[in-house]
Amino acid sequence: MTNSVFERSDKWLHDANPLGHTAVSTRARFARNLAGFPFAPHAKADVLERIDKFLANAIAKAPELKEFERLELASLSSVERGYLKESRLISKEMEKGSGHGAAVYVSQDAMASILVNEEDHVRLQVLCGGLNVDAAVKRLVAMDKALGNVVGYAWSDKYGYLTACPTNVGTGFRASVMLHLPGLTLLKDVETSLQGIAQHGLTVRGFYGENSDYSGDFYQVSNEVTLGISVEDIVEVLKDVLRRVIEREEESRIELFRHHALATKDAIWRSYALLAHAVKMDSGEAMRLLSRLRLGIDQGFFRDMDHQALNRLVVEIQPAHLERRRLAEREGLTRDELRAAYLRERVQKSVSSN
Amino acid sequence: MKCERCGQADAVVKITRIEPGGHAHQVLLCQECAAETSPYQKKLKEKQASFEMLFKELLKAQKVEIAEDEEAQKPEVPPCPACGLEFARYRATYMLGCPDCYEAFGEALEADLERIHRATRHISTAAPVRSKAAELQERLQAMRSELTSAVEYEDYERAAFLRDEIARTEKAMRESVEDGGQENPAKGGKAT
Repeated sequence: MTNSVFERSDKWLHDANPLGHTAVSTRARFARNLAGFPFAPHAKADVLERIDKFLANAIAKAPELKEFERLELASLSSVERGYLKESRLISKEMEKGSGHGAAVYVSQDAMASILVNEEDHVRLQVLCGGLNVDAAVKRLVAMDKALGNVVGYAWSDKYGYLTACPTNVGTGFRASVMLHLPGLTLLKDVETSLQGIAQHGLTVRGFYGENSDYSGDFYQVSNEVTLGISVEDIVEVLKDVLRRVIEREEESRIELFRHHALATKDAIWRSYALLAHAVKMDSGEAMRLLSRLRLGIDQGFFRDMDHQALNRLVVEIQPAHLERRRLAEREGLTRDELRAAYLRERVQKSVSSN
Repeated sequence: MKCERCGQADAVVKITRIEPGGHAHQVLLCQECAAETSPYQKKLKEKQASFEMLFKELLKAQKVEIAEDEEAQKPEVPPCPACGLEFARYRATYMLGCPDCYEAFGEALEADLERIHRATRHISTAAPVRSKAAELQERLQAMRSELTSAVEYEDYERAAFLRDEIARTEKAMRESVEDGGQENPAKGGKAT
């Protein structure tokens, strides 16, 4: 049932989250293409549909991929597409695309998915909570093998896995970890902490990837280089850099509460007050305030709320999530009123026993 | 034969007039005199003149276009033989047309790879599993590009043969997928 995918699409948010105070989530993906077919960006609608059919056939025959449930993009409403994008199961490009031959396969736990006819014929991806690169990559490699058993990937001994855009060629691998860095942001140390990341072949993006902004002090760190380096080495470099960034964030939080205790505490509780009582709120303001709340969780300010619950709020205040869960009695509310109503309910409940 | 009217230029037009009594009277004229005496010939001359003008303009415009193209394609990279994508079109979006584009664009593409990845070669830890499906897919790709060139050279006999082969291979590929795509039936094969 399609419905069930939407109900469990945010499962990664509940996942165990190592280093959850700083690392929100880990995503790993492989870009793959089929030998013998033109790449998706230049392919006509009928070719895209042929590719989709061919893959559907193959995926159905791979025993390891049996658990995946198929959704066709063309049959989804714009709210449903938006919902999947906000849950990070599909990309922004796929949400806005024509839908010709485009499909997404979602695993039973909704943490693994296979995107068909996005920029590449196949994008395999795994989402985990917290900092969990090894687990994500392990599962990803297994999916890659399972699919590689039933289709022929476009491959060259010289260039590795061939991708539509040369920025992904070679391993076709991208690992990205979403970090929450309020300490470094408040102390205005983010830039110095993240500069030099490019030297390691890494890059920083916003919450929803390419071209999204750093709202709510969320930063996505990922590898940019995919050629001339093995998956294992990419993972090692990424983990090493992340470890250092996380250490700096921890240090800056200590500094915040030691040297700027009053201002920091005040900022957190003011954020709480607005979230708990405001009548309308746009998503930018909500992200900023939730970021402060997240910082307060570490300090034990909100006993009934943990990092996972807060991660959920960040996703659930996004437009399509709000629309899909709009209750009948809230029919007349604007999106910003709806968001504020939802936040009041959740945030007040979270500190009820305080 | 000279023009019967001016007696100077060569006669190029034969005009036949039907006189009031029904008698046909023929006269041989040069282009100039014909234009002066016959309204139809006059129109024809005007048309020719304007056509020449138009042609000159077209030629001029085309020359400019050709010059611009030459400017854009200075380091000439031939289009991909498999999918026909031109290098300039790839550069406009950074999206390649098909797996063969990598070999086809060669050094020009490697310059991009060097800029993006600071590398031009894959470091292989493991080559992908070679399945029967992969081999069929590659054969299919080769035949598709051969079909394109067969049609281009109007070798329709070869094209027809390739078309049938492609259909056969596509069918075989579907069946190999249904068998689990493995030569080894132990994995993913039907339990018998």
